[in-house]
Amino acid sequence: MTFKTRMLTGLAAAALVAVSGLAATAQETLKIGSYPANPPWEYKNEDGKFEGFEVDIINEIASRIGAEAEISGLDFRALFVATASRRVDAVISSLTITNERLEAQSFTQPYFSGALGVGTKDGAGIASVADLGGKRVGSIATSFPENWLKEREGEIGYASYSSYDSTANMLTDLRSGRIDAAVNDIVGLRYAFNQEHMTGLSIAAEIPTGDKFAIMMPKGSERLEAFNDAISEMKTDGTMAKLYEKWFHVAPKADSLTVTPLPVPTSAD
Amino acid sequence: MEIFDIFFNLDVMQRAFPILMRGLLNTLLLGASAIVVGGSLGVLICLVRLYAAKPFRLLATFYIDLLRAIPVLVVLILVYYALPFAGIVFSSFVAATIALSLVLAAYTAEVVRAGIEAVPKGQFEASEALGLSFLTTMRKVVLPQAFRMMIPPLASYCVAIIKDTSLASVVAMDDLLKQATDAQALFANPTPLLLAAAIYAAFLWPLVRFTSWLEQHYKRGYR
Repeated sequence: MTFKTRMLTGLAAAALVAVSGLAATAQETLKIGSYPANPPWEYKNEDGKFEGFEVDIINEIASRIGAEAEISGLDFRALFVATASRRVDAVISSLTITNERLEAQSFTQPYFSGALGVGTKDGAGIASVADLGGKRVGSIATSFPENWLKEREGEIGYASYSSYDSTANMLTDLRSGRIDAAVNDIVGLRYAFNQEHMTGLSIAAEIPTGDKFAIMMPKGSERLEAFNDAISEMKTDGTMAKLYEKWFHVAPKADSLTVTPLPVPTSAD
Repeated sequence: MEIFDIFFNLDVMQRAFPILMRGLLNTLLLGASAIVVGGSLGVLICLVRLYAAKPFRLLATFYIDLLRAIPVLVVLILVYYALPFAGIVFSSFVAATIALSLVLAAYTAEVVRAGIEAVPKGQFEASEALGLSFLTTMRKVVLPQAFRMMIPPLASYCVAIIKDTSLASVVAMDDLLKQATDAQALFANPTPLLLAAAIYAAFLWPLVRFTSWLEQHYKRGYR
């Protein structure tokens, strides 16, 4: 085969794929959006492949409903407009179900009950939320922990609040001492603190918040029920518990969200 | 030294390099197409702004003012996420090229206008006296002289737009800076950002040098 004929065959094949893709998009390929700077929930490994707890979940759901998940990395700021404009069929990004979000989006049943961690430098003299009084704290812009902190500003009495665009930037500021404590999803913090380059930081306190992590879908998506049923199945047959253990290195508690099948949520409570 | 460990970690740098390389091509392609499309569109808009009938002139002025006033990020989100509601669906690359070109065109139009207006009036009058058509006057007399003066600001805007390609991550394009932020999360270390900066500099510095050379080259006739 000469180069030219190979090119032509390639183009023809590509055209065929494109045409068949158009005809069958509805069943075959699920477009998934994610914010990949969020290990171990979803991140890109050194080969550029998506990996993580929620990546495994979405791939499993896709195979159970006879489809294939095609994940693309988006900026966090673009996740909500991506579902609204139907550029994606679902979003994975350790998103918390909130009543505000439910007004414009749909969520599957939750599979993880969140907890916040307070990350500090070793020996910072912070051991509980109460110790944050008078300290400079930081979190991620538009995230659940940010709202959590702002709602309790008077109660905790922290000295200042800084809003970051990424966990990595926040942790750099924590190491340089510009903030005294970083408040964020405890799983993400634990992942970062376990990296070999990350020394001298530790989790000073854990705050169970009861916020529920789920997959976000366009409001009233026609695939919502199918996704939810697949998640229920995964919870009943032990797949979800296995994935949980694979990524978080502990087994989920017996009555936790990770193993209890639930209907599609209509409110955050 | 902790600062080297955090910002110039050699081990992280080595592992992040191939990751960043995957974003470099997108950045260069996007930058190049935005400059070509946006640059041409900018010249066109400028000519409309200067020489078209009044309503078109007002429209062009409005376009230039508006696009310079709103953030590129918003233009990008509108082109990619809002147009599908009107039935127009662009791929990530096309959407990003359109958004960046629209913005660059507005800036280019102003630079070109300043360049053309700086050409002495006598040049226009002489061309008219010689019976040259509008297009020939522009092509052979005015633009070559105007271009000389437009090089430095145009070069600055081109460099700026190449760096703005990093905004394409909001439309799911893996550009250089996006790969760097993802790698930063993977390694929980900001070294990939410094590496990305070095790569930007490696490409943009020669570009800036080249435009200075171009400037000198066009000045020759005036020494």
